[in-house]
Amino acid sequence: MTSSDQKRAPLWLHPILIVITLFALYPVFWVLALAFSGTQNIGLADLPANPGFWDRMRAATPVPAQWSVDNFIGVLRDQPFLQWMLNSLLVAALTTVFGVALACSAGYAFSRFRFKGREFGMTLFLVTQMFPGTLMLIPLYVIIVDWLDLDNSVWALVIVYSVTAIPFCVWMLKGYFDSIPIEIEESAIMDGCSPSRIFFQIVLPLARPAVAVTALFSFMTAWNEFILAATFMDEEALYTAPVGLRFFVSEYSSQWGYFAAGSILVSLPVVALFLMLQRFLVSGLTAGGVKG
Amino acid sequence: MKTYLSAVFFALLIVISGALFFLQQAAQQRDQAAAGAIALATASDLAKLGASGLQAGLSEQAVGSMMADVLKRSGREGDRYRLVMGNGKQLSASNWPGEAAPRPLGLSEKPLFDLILGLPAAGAKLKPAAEGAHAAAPLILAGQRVGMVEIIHTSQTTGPPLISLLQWGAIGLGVLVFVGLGLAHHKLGAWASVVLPLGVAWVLGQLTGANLASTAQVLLDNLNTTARAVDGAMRAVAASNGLAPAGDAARLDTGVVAGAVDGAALTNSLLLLGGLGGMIGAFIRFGAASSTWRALKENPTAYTYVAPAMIGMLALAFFPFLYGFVLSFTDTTLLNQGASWSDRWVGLANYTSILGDVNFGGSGTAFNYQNFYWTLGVTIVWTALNVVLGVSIGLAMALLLSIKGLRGVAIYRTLLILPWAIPNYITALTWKGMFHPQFGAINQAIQAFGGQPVQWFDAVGPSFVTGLATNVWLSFPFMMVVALGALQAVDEDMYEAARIDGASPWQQFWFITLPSLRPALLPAIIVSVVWTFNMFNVIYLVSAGQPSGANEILVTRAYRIAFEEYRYGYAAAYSVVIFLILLIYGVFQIRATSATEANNK
Repeated sequence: MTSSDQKRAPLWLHPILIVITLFALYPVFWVLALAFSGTQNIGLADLPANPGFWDRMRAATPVPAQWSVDNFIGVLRDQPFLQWMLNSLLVAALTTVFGVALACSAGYAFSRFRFKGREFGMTLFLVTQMFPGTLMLIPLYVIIVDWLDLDNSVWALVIVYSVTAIPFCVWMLKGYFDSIPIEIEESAIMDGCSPSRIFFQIVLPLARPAVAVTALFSFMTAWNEFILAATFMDEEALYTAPVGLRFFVSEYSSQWGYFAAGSILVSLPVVALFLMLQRFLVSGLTAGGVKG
Repeated sequence: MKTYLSAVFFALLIVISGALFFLQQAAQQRDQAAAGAIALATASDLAKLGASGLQAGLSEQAVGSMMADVLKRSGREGDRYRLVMGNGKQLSASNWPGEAAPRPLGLSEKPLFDLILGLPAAGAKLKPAAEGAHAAAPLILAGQRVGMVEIIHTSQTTGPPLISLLQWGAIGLGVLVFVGLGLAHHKLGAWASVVLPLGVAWVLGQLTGANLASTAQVLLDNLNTTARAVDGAMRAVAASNGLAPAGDAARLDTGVVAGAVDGAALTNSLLLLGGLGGMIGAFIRFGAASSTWRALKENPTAYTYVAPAMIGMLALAFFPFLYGFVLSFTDTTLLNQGASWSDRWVGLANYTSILGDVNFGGSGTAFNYQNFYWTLGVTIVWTALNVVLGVSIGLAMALLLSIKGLRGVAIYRTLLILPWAIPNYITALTWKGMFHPQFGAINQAIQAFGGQPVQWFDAVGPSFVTGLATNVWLSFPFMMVVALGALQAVDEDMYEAARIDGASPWQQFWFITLPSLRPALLPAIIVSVVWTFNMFNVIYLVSAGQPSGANEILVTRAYRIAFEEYRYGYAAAYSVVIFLILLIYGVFQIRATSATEANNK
């Protein structure tokens, strides 16, 4: 038993793992290379008239011919990309505020109160996770664009994203509230504390980690969403970052340098958040899978 | 006594306010339909005039000013017109506020271009604009569609009321008598709260039906007068420009008004409303309301806390779902959105056309990739291959990283998790770039090793591979993380015991590792099946279903039907079918997992 614990893994494993990792990260290097190339070309190198093996390999190696940060400067200064990022930021921030506020109160009620329709309500929240996106898209389009007249408005996205994020957040928060011992609240009631004070001054501060995770989840839902944003926003000044990035490399334009630089700017914050949060996401997602 | 009166009151409140809403809607719809008919007649008149003008060699601007002239002579300066030419690429003339003409049309105005291609030769009424009725007609020159005339008719005609004040008074009197009878006879009272709303709704329905029929002719005469005025102005303008007047005098037929408001549908919806009112009456009268009220009073905090989220979900998840479901029984498109539900209702036709589509193309013609079963097959193969590859690669990586005594696991793990962390639309667009047939890195590498460049998006197989590679890349880290977590929980002693018993490494993997991974992997596989099945972004952004829709999966196909072909009803039916497939999968999966769990015990 002890002998197997002290056993070292053979050193030749590392070269294999390094090669696999480099291979797996190729697309990331490719984007980095385009972003720092300073040009809009999709090719990594110019090919001579009769390219040989090494010319081809050069064109497949994700290292830019010349290093330059022009694409980053260009995408922020010459393109409306900064505006698009700000739109995304606004939408995501508002979504977070609304999503978390709604989910906290509902999650708390589901966790702490026994009332008529509690089970039914919780099931209703889960059922919505099965609704197909495309079926919802048409009626949402009618509601948002035709009835509420909110096309090309950030509120359209905020409303829809908040509601989309609610079921996951409610279940997540309910689980966390369940784990807070009820005795704390009971003693507060004994001291004559009102229900709303208990919620805001005792329970919410205790649940801070779960609230943080929920907030970040709502934020990332809104920050990464593409289809709805592409459907509701057709005015260029109101694009969100995903729609804008698509715009750079659509059928009508191919500004791969701007796309790559923009992608890095958009990805950095979410990748950082994701790496911090991954263990919560794994447990939350698979738990939902078992129940749903 | 008190419950009886409040039951009757609330039931009637619902019925009357609902009826007022429906009647107001119906009146508005009738006015809109009337205005729409005028707009359509004007659009097709102007399109004919424009065609003869262009034929006689007039410039597009001259045609535009002729149109303005027609509107002015028929006393309709307030109306908006727009002439789109050059197959929808050029706005030639317009009097819409804030719109400069001529100018080329922008990308965001692509629907206009699609509209021209989809317009029937006689023109079509469009969704009413905020300013008024909206219609368009194609400009046909020598059998070719060269452009389109769009009209917004601002003057709103107001038809006679659907139910007169006198009739309302009579209904009110009847209700009072009935309530009095209910109060006097105790047994009657219990049922009056149910019968009364139904009766009122029925009477309202009959009255509206009769009134609609009697006022139709008046409205029609008014419309024909207006249409003749436009026609006359058109002829006058044609004559003053030396053109032969084209077509016959516009004549609106009775169908315009009769079809404007479907009397039967209105009666039915009023009856339905009566049923709802009756149910509310019964709900209050027979005590369910008071028990609900008690529950609310017992837990006021709980319900206030749940209410906001619940209202949001009802309004933006359940209502859209139901609306989409109802939409799936209609043939709603971009062009007939304004029409009444009963006009659009087609029953199960969408479903039979989706599920009964056995036209695969076959002999002589190209294969029909739009066929539902082909798309379903592609989706299933897509899901299965992705999950198998994702699980295998993820599991292999997890096994490598969990070798005892390996250093730097955390670094490898963090690096390998990156594909999952990057937003998937960025991943998709990146791979699309790498698969670029001419300059993409992948074809460069293939050529370096002496291969021929692959035209990735021109054939079914290679195009499928592009999506597959992208999706496997972004999905294997999830499986790897799940498997890594589960591997750490496997008891070391089991391997020790197995080694002592002489088990080979393969046997250890097969009989110890895999069974211990199952509780963690199974839920992960179940969710990833649903994710992959619905993986819109990868298909839509990488291969876009090329060639000719062959690699579309169900969800992207439904999106295209809705937002590129603008067939909303058909797309809704398509989505309902997708939902049912997932539902069947869900039920099946719950059965299967609970069966295996029972076996394990």
